[in-house]
Amino acid sequence: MVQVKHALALAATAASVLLLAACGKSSSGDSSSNGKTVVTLIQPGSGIQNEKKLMAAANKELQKKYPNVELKIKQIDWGDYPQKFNVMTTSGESYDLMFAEDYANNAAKGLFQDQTSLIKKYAKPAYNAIDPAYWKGVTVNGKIYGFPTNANVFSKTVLAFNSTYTKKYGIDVKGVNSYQDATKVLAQFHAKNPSTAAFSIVKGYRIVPKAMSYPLGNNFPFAVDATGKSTKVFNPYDNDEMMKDMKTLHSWYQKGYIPKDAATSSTTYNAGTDTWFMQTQTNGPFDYGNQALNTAAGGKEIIINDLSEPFKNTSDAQMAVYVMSKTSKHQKAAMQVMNAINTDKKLENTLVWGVEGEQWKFTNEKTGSIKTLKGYDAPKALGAWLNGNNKLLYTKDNITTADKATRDKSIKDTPESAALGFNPDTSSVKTELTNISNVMSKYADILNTGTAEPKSTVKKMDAELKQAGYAKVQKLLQKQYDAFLKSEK
Amino acid sequence: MRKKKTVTAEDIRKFSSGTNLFFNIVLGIFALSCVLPFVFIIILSLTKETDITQFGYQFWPKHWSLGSYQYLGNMGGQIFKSLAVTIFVTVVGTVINTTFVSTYAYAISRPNFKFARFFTIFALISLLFTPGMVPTYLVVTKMLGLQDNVWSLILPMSFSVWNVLIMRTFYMTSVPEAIVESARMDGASEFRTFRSIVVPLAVPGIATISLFTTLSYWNDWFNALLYMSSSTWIPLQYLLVKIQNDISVLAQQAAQGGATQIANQIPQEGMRFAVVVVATLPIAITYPFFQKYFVKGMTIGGVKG
Amino acid sequence: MDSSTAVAQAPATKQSGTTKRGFMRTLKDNGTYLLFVLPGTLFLIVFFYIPVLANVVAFQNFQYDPQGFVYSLIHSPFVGFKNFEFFFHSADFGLVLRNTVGYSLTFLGLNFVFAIFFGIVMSQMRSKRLLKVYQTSMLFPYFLSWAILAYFLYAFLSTDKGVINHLITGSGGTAIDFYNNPTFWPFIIIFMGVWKGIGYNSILYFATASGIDPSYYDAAMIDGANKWQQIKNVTLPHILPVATLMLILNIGGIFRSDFGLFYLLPRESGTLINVTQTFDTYIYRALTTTNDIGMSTAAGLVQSVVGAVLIIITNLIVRKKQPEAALF
Repeated sequence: MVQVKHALALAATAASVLLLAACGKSSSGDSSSNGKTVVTLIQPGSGIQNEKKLMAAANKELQKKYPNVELKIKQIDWGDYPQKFNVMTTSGESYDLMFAEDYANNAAKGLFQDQTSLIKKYAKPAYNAIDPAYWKGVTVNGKIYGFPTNANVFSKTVLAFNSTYTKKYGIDVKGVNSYQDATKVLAQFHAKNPSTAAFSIVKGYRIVPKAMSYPLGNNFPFAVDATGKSTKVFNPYDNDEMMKDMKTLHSWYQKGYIPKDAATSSTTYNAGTDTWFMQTQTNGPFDYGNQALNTAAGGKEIIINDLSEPFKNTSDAQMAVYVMSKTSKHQKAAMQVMNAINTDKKLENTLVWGVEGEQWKFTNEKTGSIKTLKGYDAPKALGAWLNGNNKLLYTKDNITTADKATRDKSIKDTPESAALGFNPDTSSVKTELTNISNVMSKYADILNTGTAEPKSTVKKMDAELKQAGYAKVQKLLQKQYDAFLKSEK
Repeated sequence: MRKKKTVTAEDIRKFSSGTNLFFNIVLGIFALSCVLPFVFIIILSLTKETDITQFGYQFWPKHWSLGSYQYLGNMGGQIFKSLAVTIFVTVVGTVINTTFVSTYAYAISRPNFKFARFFTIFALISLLFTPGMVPTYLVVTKMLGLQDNVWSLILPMSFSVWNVLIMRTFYMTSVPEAIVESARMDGASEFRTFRSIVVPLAVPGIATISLFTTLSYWNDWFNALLYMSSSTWIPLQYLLVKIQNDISVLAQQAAQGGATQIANQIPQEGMRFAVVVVATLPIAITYPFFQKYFVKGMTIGGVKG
Repeated sequence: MDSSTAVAQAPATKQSGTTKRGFMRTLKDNGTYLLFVLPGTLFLIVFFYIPVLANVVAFQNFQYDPQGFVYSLIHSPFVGFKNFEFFFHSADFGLVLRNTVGYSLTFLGLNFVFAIFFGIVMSQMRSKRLLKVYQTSMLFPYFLSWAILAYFLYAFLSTDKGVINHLITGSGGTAIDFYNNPTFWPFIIIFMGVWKGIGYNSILYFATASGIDPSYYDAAMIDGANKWQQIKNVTLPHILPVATLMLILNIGGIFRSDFGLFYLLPRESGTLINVTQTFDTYIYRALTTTNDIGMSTAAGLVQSVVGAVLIIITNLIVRKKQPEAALF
């Protein structure tokens, strides 16, 4: 019997390990001890500067308006974010506010709570404060599934030049506004400095034509004319302008202006270093011309020239969207939080800049100019582009009132892309899209980095796309786009 | 099973000195090729960041720099904390896994166990099919309630069918039925037989599977990615993967011209190599100690007979 | 399935037992065994059999429901084999099949030969200290992920910055664009794959060979066998059961491949896809943009079913030739 006992003991230990674990607590902080409703906002990031004080200050401000609401921000590292987002949403976990990945696609799948009526009911002031282009851009099947962040409502792509080299070699980059224009300056640079990347691009780079929108993102070969002159859904790689650009890049590649390993390299050419001469950057109104870039480059001047025309695109509208799970127990409070951070100046500035007197101080309170202090921890400051209404933000004192006026004027003047708000439903062509995705993984990088000869490669690619069912998807998109345009009128 | 030692065991079982030299050279060269990448990574971690961008990955950089390690210094105690987590999880996990596996395997290796075949197939099926990430996540978080709990790093790997099948073969080949039978004749219970006769005979096998388990616990980061949302229980490998993932996200964004928005939130490329060094070094240092027991354990069976 | 009911019935038969004493004896024996398998069984139920049921999603058009994943799973409509279509209807299916099976078989063979060779050689080394150095070194690649090893390889192969091309251009040749030239890659992939795995794979054979009773060698010596004959007649037969087991298990993985090796090592280069695309990279590339749970499960299921069939066949063959080495 002793032996049996031993065996029993062994198994019991084993089982109790499993059971013990099974009985682990599953407390989910619904409300904090002081009886407030806690709204958890989940976003990518790697830590918050001065977290305790910052959150306390933010909550104090928030509770002036909504005394029973408490905001908690939970950050998940950038690299883990897509995977975690995917698991959490698919498994049906409950969350109040979460930064959305692949917003339109997931919204169409029915992953998120419809916020349309909630916004109207609890966040009307915020709704009015945010640029209408955003609301149009996040509307999927007539409903709003996510709360946008009012930041760079339009974007354009610019050619950025490293001023270290323009000065050193006396290269004049004025008037260089297209890939073709740039050939001349790249040649000048390459002749003087052949070992530094003249046009520093890597795997994943996509050529940017003047005015194209990509309804399924630029990894899928479907484009429409952003100006609305043409209403056709077409393959960008068959487009004349694109072909011209690809040919230009291919000639650069052959001449050595583009690094030989561009199609496979993932090295980042940081703006602040002198490892590059020309690159492309996305630019929007809250970048204040080249000011944001200069800051990112550690103070070095980066000269920028427009490459593409600016449009308010769907992709801009969906840049940072907060979604809510259908099972969230704090829908009302979550909306109140969104309302507050989009309308309350002090709250928004505390979140983004930090605690006044510790992270920053005013240099001119009237114009809203500030200076960051020693306590300001740039890597851990909450990014403005994914937190609240950027129009409420104070600006560093190098940005003048004139800069802000230019910003506001450009926002007003920039046209909406014809396809703004066109979020196609692709559920019936899933099989075709997966096959197209596979074909593109073969060709996209070598075509966009100039590695391959464009004419013959595109021909080969088109043949494979045809087999993958391109025509069917194109037809479907065209039908939906026509219907979309009709409803817009 | 009777041993008759006329010459030393060494002479009988090992190579002659000539052959020994030859194979030493073969193994030596091969072993060198295995260490080379690690040396390379140490060099990269000491290369100046801009050198990597401009000249690529070089074996002898133009500028040396300690910059990457400064970042690690900023991470402060996190690395040591993570090392402690990794060691804890590895040790506890290995003990549990080895216990579960060696008992299960013993049962299904015995011809007199009525359900041996059933339990063999019961286990084998799990090798072939994959449960999928989302349902497993639900089991761990909802059914077991292990979110942010250290057991979520241990339990999902606390049993290994692959090892069960290896152990089963080990028992069948190195634990003769005759010995078990004679113990049974002497009136020893099944459990007693297992503990005092079978286990000592199977030490080489147990040493092998516990080594496999140790390695897999040490290398695991995916469970941490899924189940750990606070930084309390973050193992070393996950720390490494996190930094790598962060860098590749940055690279993607940069390729499309949007890097300025998050550039300052993410460590630079050279740092990932510094982290690899820091994450791999502990096991490189501790492994020889562990291996001492491992090699001993394996050869015990042979000497005992 | 049928045997699980047998387990449940075991206590019931206790009452109906006639030769009570003998029966109690067998029950007690089996009872201990049942206790032995209990923890593992619990594990398999919790971490495998329950979650694996969700594989039905492969046959569904999965619809998200606010009441959670399980509810959605139960209420999603069935669509038959629609989710499998992308897998088989692709123009590249033949190519991917060829690559996956071709590489798997090559690895199966080479890993086998090298792991056994290194395992036996190490078990026969005279110096314990050197042995320890070798084993520790050989495990190093196992600790480095493919992402890191991809950098290492790149340092050799890069077109304008790589060591090899520096040597070539230094001696007046033209640089080879490795990452856009498919001819080299089957060899590179096989070499790197085998190289990375040897340290780990040889452990098992080393342990088995070290565990052999020295009296067998004694006997062989007395019969006048030289080292090679000893290995042939003593070591190899002892390794055979483990080797057979590995063979059966690895054959079940023929439709699978090491994702990092095929995806990260060639740096995702599009021009190399014809020689680097396997089922795993194909599925990843196809679904990473659409992220469809039904389709990805379907693809995994195909790999599993093929693996299961192959294991059953291999096991049948093994059972005919060598009954004691068969798995079931």
